[in-house]
Amino acid sequence: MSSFFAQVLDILIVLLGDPFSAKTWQVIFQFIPFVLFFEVPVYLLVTLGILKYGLIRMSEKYTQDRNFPSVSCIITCYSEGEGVKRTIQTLAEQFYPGLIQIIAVIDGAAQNQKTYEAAKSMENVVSRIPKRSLLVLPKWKRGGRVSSLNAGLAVARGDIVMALDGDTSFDNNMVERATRHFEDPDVACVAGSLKVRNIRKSLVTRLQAIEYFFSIQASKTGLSAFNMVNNISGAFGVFRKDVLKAVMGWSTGSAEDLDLTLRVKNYFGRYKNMKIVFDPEAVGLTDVPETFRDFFRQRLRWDGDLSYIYFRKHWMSFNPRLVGWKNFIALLWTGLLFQIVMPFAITGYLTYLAVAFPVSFALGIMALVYLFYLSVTAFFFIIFVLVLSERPWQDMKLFPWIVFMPLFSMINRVHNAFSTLWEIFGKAHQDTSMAPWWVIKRREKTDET
Amino acid sequence: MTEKDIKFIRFALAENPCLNRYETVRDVHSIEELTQVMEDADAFIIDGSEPEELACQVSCTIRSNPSSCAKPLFTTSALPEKIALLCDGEISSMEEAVKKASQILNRLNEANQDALKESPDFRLMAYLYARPSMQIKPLLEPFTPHAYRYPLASCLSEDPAMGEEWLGFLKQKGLLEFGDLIDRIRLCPRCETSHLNYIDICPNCSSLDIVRKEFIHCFTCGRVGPVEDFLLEDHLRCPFCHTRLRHLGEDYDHPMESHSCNDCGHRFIDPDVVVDCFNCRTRSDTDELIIKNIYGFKITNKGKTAARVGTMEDVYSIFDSLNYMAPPYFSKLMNWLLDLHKRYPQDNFSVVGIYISNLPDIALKLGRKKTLRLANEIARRLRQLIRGTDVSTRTSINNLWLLLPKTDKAGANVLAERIKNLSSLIDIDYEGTLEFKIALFSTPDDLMDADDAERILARLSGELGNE
Repeated sequence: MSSFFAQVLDILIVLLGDPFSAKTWQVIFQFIPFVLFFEVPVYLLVTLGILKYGLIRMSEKYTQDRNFPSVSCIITCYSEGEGVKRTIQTLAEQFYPGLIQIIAVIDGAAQNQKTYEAAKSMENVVSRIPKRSLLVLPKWKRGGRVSSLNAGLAVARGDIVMALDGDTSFDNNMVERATRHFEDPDVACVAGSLKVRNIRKSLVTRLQAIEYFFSIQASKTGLSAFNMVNNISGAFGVFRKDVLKAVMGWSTGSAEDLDLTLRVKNYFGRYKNMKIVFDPEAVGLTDVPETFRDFFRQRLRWDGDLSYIYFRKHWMSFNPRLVGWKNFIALLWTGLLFQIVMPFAITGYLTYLAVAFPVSFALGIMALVYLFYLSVTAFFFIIFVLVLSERPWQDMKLFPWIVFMPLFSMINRVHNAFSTLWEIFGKAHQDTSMAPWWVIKRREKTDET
Repeated sequence: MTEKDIKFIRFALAENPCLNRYETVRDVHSIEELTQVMEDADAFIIDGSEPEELACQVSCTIRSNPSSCAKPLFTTSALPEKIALLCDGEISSMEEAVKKASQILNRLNEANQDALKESPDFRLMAYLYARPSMQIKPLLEPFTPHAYRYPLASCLSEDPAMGEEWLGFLKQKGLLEFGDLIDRIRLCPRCETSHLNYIDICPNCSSLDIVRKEFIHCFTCGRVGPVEDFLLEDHLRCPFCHTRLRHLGEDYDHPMESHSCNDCGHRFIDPDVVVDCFNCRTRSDTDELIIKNIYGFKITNKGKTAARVGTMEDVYSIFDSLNYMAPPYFSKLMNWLLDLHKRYPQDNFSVVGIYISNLPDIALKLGRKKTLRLANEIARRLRQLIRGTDVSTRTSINNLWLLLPKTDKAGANVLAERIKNLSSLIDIDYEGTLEFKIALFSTPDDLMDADDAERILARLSGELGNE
């Protein structure tokens, strides 16, 4: 017991007594390169982008004096059950003067009879609303998300096609916000802002809400200002139908959203003005895992999928001639460095810290790092909420939970490293629950040939 | 009739008939020509599909004529339902036509040919008898007052407008019964047309001018109001707490839906539904409408008997040779005897009711001629059993009644026994014997208070069990 107190005392001494001793600095300098070279440029870029967005947004007003293109919303449904009703209803009740065709594709409708019936029961409700239509498309045999999206695309009549998740509901101005970007003929796709619906459920949902806010709403807004959006989320993507037809729809395999983003970006080299825009005010709310166990399981899949896309499927996209120099660097940076290299670097650094130094010293360093991240996170959170948030009050309520964020991010990074290893050595994407194994298997075969 | 002997008449609608020439087929090209020769034909073919109007006329002409109405009639292509309902289906070759026609004609020959000429009732029975699995189907004619009619019944009946009533009458007589339930329609209680307009109106002032109003429930302050109070140019904002409502299910929801009347301002959940008749403009409540089931009709066993034997009327009328007296007089006489018995209680009389329950079945088996002979034989035997002073009558459901003056219970019983014994005396070409059912009434044993002729006969009818 006394040794524990001694350790704590040591930490305090390192932190408060002599924070700038040579030894501390030595270790901190070993850490700084990561922060300095990997993260800070991105933070700066994102902050600049957000400020740019904020300035433009301030001068913008709602106007009826624009085109309201017809929109097709493909909702990929599986076992959401009654939940799809909500998705359909929030789409049907959009404030949008144009036509909205809602296409609910039920994958494996034979097993998911409840989902199918729930979607069917909305036909009456939607038919009463002018300029809205609902088409329930049962795919009796399960074929995966990609086949649902492509089936939906085949019957989509709108000029704009949205790919949406069956468990995501939308703000009532989402379609209006998302479609206004297509006034600019160079805009190919719009990525929507996903936020957490079940925030108040548990600690892990709150932390995810903060994480979503940073990694989606804030960072994508920043990247979007420089046309460097890294991914159009599969749960919420908006496309020109012509663009989807040009890239021939979605392609089999997991992380089809990132795959599609990269394939669209492959046109950037040829069409210099082409844009992918992120709109922080086109908001969809989704339920996130409520326990740590479910959360890590979800991340295992996502992170694994990510490296699958980068390493196995899209090596060729890492080519400035295809995606343009700017996006090539962005891909390397946010894709490779952030998503793949950083997790390993941080895991390695932590291991080094634990092995090479006494526990009290290591913990001391960790505490410093924690404080550093905490202040950075808190600072940016306040700025971003003030500039970006469409619900500032609600988002500000998350502020106290920021104290957990540095730790949460670190654990995520370490877990990410393991997920990537699992993908590389375990070929985890074949276990994906997003499509039946025979679809994934086929993909493997075509990849080899 | 052998297949070779079937004489076909083909009505060729188009220049180029669909079927090849066939030796036993006679071609006609106009209605006039058809009416001249159709008496001799055994079967008909309408060849071609255009003009439809003419095809319709031809089929109606054939079905309306007493001599040809039950004969086979085929088409060579799918014609509209109003024609198809009068025909025996499509054929694609003469071989097929001959085969199908001979089936129908063979059955038709079993029907009583004399009765066919007698009345449309028997023609319809023969028609259905020749096509055992057939039902008389209704035809939907959307813009007519009654929506449904029976084309076959209209053609075969004497009054084409009364086709449906006629079917109802035949059903009452037990010759037809309901087939499939086809539809259920609602009719105006005043003019009985089916052209109705269902409208929702204000329950307060009955105005037509009502609108649906959706309500919003603000989660922040909990207040509820109609959508228009929340609606700004491009978003919803709560008029009470000024919260911007962005997300259905998170910020707000629709707690209910209601209607409001633009005339009287009344707010209500469910509007009243009333029905306006397009024809006579009568306004009714939905539960005042006449509900009518639309059925197909099929032939009953009794109908089949009627088709084979014709009417049983002439069979039963043979029994009228037994001191027949018309039913009203018979009743009068009975009442007189009742009065007499009351005055002079020793003056007894008896009434015997006789019903041969299996006579229709036997008739179906034996055919008409043998049945008549059998009836004569029964009448002869009965005449031997009764006295010159006994009188008889016959009521509509073919119960035979004997009134025996000066006969008491014992005497009546003796007679009843003898009648029952007749079944063993009369030899018929039938597995089984005549089944005599007998009911007895004798004074004073069976007399009840306030009895009169009508009540006594009704009581005995019940005992006889004749439906």
